[in-house]
Formats: sequence, structure tokens, C-alpha cells
Amino acid sequence: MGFFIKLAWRNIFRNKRRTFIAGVAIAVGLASLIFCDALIRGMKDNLIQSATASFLGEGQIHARGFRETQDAEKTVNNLPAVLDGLRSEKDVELFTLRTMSLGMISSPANVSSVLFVGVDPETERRLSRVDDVLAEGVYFRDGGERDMVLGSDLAELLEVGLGDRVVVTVSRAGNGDLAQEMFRVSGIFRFHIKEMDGSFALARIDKAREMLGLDGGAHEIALKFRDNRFASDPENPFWDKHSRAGNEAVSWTALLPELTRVMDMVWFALGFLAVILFGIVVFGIINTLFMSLYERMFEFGVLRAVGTRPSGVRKLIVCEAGALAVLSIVMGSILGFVLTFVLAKTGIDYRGIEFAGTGFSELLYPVLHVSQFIIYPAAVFVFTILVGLYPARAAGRLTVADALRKSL
Amino acid sequence: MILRMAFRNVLRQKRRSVLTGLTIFGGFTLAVIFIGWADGSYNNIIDEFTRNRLGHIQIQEKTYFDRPSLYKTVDDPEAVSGVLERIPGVESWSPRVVSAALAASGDKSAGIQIIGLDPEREAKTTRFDRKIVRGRLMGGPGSKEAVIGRGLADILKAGPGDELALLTQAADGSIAEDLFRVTGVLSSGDDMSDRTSVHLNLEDAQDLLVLGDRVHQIVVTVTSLGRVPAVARAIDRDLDDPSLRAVPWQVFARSFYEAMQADKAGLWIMLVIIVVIVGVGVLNTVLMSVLERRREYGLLKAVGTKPRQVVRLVLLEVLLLSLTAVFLGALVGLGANAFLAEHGVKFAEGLTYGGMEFGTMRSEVNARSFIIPLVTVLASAILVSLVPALQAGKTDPARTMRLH
Repeated sequence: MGFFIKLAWRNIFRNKRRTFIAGVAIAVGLASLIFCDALIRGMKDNLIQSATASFLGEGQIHARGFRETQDAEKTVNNLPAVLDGLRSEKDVELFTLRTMSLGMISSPANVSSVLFVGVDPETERRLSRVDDVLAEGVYFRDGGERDMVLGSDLAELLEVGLGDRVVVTVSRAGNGDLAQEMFRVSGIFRFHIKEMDGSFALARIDKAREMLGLDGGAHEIALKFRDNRFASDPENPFWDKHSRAGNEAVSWTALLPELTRVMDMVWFALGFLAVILFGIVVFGIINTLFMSLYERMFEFGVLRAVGTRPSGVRKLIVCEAGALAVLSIVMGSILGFVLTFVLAKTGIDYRGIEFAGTGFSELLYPVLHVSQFIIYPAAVFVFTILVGLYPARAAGRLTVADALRKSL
Repeated sequence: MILRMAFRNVLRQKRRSVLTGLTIFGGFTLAVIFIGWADGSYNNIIDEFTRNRLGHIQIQEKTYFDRPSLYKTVDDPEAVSGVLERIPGVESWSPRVVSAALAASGDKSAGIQIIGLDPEREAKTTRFDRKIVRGRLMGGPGSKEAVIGRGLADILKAGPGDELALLTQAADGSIAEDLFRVTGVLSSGDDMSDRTSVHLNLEDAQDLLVLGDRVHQIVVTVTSLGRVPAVARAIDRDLDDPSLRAVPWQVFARSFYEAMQADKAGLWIMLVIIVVIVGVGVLNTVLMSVLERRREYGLLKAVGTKPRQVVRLVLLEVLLLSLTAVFLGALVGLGANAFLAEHGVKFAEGLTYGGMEFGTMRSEVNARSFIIPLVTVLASAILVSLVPALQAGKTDPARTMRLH
């Protein structure tokens, strides 16, 4: 066998031009598979991010019943134990505590209903994007106890700007008494999402707890995981494990059931497209290999004429297919890596001119993954060998006279 | 003469011709299916998402979208209906009244949003009837019946048969107050809005809010998603009323639109890649077949064929092959698309959610799914054969005849 491998390796370098043409065709196919896999991963991340990264988080923990009723009394049960449990989870990248209550916000000019959210600025900054989409002012200032960050539409409605005062009214947990507090606008965010820009107002959680009479409690723990695929799986045991003692831990897929269905459709559509793409690549390989082998039947005839056994010719052809595959895989993997790597760094700017200039920068980033350089090269190798078997059999059956005559 | 030779050459080397033809055929067919499926399935997703919730287009007072208010109304919905009836592409429409209010049932109360709608029109437009999860639709005008969101039913601990008191401010400045009976609970798929929505019959809502015939929005659906921008423009033009504005889904479902744009961009990139693979495949076959046949071209030159004629011969051969392949590919590819558009691919049994149908995904037969592959495949085949053709024309008979 070693002999045939050596011969095959020499053969493919004998006619460099042909090898190069065939190799490039297969390499381009492989590079495309790697890149498209990365692209689809990027598209998935993008969809998940657009759903979770603004504010929601990839998962949330509440007291059971809070989501349905938004009842101020329903704070997360046994908070210290829950937090300890989260800290010991290595898949959880970070989490942040929030209080949430529906209330009223008023300025000298107007009054509106508001979703009043108490946040911990430090951890919140890393989980949600509020600090990235500030249209005016700053996120919470050090020592700015009464700082408030609110949505741009809400600010416009209230006719307030930076430094202006607003008054928030909420009902306290327990007795339902109204609590009122003055805040100063330190920042105005604009997500370009109506629901958020028009109804969210953020304050420091300590202040919010004081108003709501919560004493260290929280209504919501928003979670971010190291790998967003972890959170996208509603069957993950993580959710059950942390849904104890009257609490419920839910993935974003349960928080946004409608979007989850849309994404299921998207994955299905993409899966179908990936199969088509693979089909095109496979087609290319079949054709390239057949072409480069059938054109050389004369040569194989000569081999037979000088006494090579049919099994020898078969082995030689399969070895050549393998050698070509190895060469293409090296080229294709490098090409795929460079292409993906560069675009993963720079991002793909897809925004049309329609809404250009508004919103924060949204780019599509392909995502590199080790598996891309194992699965696809292996598939290409196996496939090339398999495809090589057919011409190998044909060449093994050649009668010498036929082969030598035919090529004229 | 050259054409006849090209024909004969193609037929003479059957295996090679079939191989080259197959590459072009395979690439072309798969590209046709790819585009048809990508367009079809994404339009499918967007259509399901928008149609069931907010419609494709909403006609509103021009500043209503940015700052909704009870007083910003479409004053003559009848006139708008008349215009909509004449615009081609409009499938259905349904007027709505929207206002904030306070609702109480038993000892529970909550801030809610009244949505007044015509159940029959709404069923045709946004499949309102399919969203009911308990009970039934509200009755006709004057029935004083209400359908509430699932989340709100939990908050108020109310269900079909319970009484609901609504309190709000009417358009004439008076305090409006009335009792309604809950007949149904619905799930729209959007939990946030289901926590606050109370649906009344349009006329009941207009009476409660003292709006007369005025409405706040007219939700329009369009026969195909691609026509939305054109129809929105047509509505603006034909209404010829500067106080009104037709807002397309791209604006009112903006974050969803942007997420989909990113996906579509990804699809375009994949399409470019497919074109490249197909192009390289064609290049590779033609190049190889010309290189392997240098001897043959040498022979032709030796018997007195001019270089120009050899070039023409090679190009004609490729063109003949490509046309045959593309013709067959179009039959198969468009056939497959038509089949997938008609029957769809089921990926989940009867999965419906908030009136949306998620179980089946369809392809689409459109001009683009034929023209893009056609142009790229033919162009790449011809361009790519130009190099080997010119080379074939330059073959030196003496040298190549000796070659083996």
C-alpha cells in the first residue's frame, strides 16, 4: 500500500495544472462549507442577541406567579441561597438583580404610566445594552443616588431633559400604600424599540427597594450564560434545578414564545438551505474527480499494459483521490479560516440605506468553531474517496487495447 | 459548419459532455431551489409574524405612531375603505379603536388597553377568531361583550361569564364607565400585550369613548409581502389626505424587521458563495476538457482550421452544453419550487400559535430564482471558457500532436 500512496502522491504533482484546478474546486467547496456554517452560527447569535441582549437576558428567575401578575410582593424566594447557587454554576457568566413595578411618572409638563425598574448599575451594565444606546447624558453617576435613566420617547412625552426632575409613584409591597420619590434624569436611552423607549425608567436598586419596601429583595434575576446555546435549550436541566422553593427559572425561549416559534422556522429554513449547499459542493467533487480521472484512462491503460494488476490500478486511483483530498483540505481549511476569521473580526455590514444612520451599529459576525475544521474536512475526505471508487472500478476493468485506442 | 461540428463534438464525447453538462445542471438547479426556498420561507415567516398581530400596513393619523392619543383619529373610515377597495394588492382591512382604561372585576383591578374591533373583519384580516383559547368571540354591536388577553385573565382572576367594569376618559372629556361581560380569553402570542388587552366590539368601544364613527387605526393586509411598500405608497397617494399616514410593518415592527434583515443578508452571502462554487465548478470542467483535448485542436489546426474558428468552436460547444443543462435545470428546479410552494414541507404537525401556522414551510416561484442562476451560470460558463478557448486557438499543431 505504501508504494501506491507514494506513486499517487507523485502522480498528482506530475501534472501540476490539473491537480491545481481540481484541488481549487474542492478547496473552494470546503471553504464555503466552513464559512456558511460560521455564517449560520452568526445569524443564530444575531437573532438570539436581538431578542435577549437589549434588556431581557438569556434567562430569568422570578418568584412563581410574578410574571403573570407583576405583584410587588412576589419577590424571589430565599434570595441568598439562589444567588449562591448561581455563583457555583460555571455556565453562568453573570447575573443581575432587578425590581420591577408598574407606576406613574410625572414631570411638570405631563404624566405617564411607567415600568419602573430598579437595577444594580455595575452588573446591569454588563448584561443589558442600556448603557450602549444612551442618546444623551451618562449612565448612573458615582454617588448619584437619585439618578434615573429613561427611554427617549418617555423623556419626550414628559418634556424633560438631562438634569430635570421627575417624580415616580409606585405602590408599596404589603400594604399597597403609595410611595413617591423624586429622581433626576442623568441619561436618556434610545433602543428604537417603542415598547422600551416609551415605558422604561431605570433607577438604582437600593432606592427602588426603599420605595417599594422590599428590604434587600428583588423581583427578577436576569442571567447571561457563557454560551447562548446553553440558554436556548428549554430542556436544559439548569431550569429545573433552579426552579425550587417557589421560584421559577425560565429561558428566554419561554419568555418570548412567539419569537421562539419564528426562530424555529428560521432554523428549519436554514437547515434546508445547508443541505442544498452541501449538495452543490458534493456535486462539484464528483464532477472534478470524474473529470480528472476519466481524462486519464489512456494513462491507466499504459499502466495495465506494463503489467499492473487491476487491483493495483484501483488502489492507485483511490490513493490519488485521497492525496487530492488531503491537498484540497489543507487549501480549503486555510481559505475558509482566513475568510471567516477576517469577517468575524470586521463583521458584515448588512444595513440597507433605508434606515441607515439610526440605531446602534448592528453587524453580522460569522462565528468560528473548532468543529467546522473537523466535520467538514472529514466529510470532504470520506466523500472524495467514495467518489473515487467508481472510476477506480472502471479503470480496473479496462482492457488494455480499448484504453489505448480510445484516447486518440 | 462550426455549429454542426460543435454539435458533433458534444455528442461524440458523451461521457465528458454529460459530466460537464451535469455540473452546470446541478449547480443551476440547486441554485434555483436555493433562492426559491430562501425567498419563500423567509416571506412565510415574516408574513405569519406580521399578519397575525398588527397587519402589514396601518393607516393612522400622521403623528399617531410616534405619540398615540385618543384624539388623533381617522375621521372618515368609510372614505378610507372606499379607497382601499380600489387599490390592487390590498387583501383585507379592519378598523380599530384603541384607548387606555382601568378595568375591574371582583376586587381586582388593572390598567388595560381597550381595543375595539369588528370581529368579522378582524377574523379575515388578522385571524382574530383563531386566537381564542377559552370561550367564544364577542357578539355584535350592542352586545357589550369582551374578549380579554390570557395574562389579564390571570391578573383579574376573570374568565368567560364574569363581569368587567371599564373606566376611562371619553373623547368629549367626560368620564366613561360601563359594564361588559367576558365571553372569551385569547392568546395572541405576545404575552406582554395579553396582560393588558381587552377587546370590545368596534361600535361598543366607539360608544364608550364617544368617538362617533372615528377610529384610530385601519389595519391592512396585502396579498403578498413584496407588495407592501408599493401598496403603502399607493394608499398614501390615493387617500390624498395629509393628516393620514400609511405605516408599513418595517416601521412598526422595526426590531423584528432588523433581525430579519440580518438573516436575509446572510442568505445573500450564501447565494454569492453558491454562485462562486458553481462558477469554479464550470471553470474546472471546461478547462480540464480543453486541456485534455489539445491534441484534437492541434489536429484541427493541422488540417487548416483558423484560430478564430477553433475559439468559436470551443465557445459554441460550451454554450450548447450550458443551454441544454440550463433548460433541463429550469424544468427540474422550477418544478421542484412549484411543488414545494404548493405542498410545502411539514416540519411539525399542526403547530399553531396565536393564530399563526408554523407547521408548514413553503418555497416560492419567482422570476429572481430563475434569472439570477441563469445569468451567473451562463456568464461564468462563457467567461470561464474564454481562457481555454483562446488557448485552444493558439495551439501549435506540431507540438501538440506529439503530446500524449
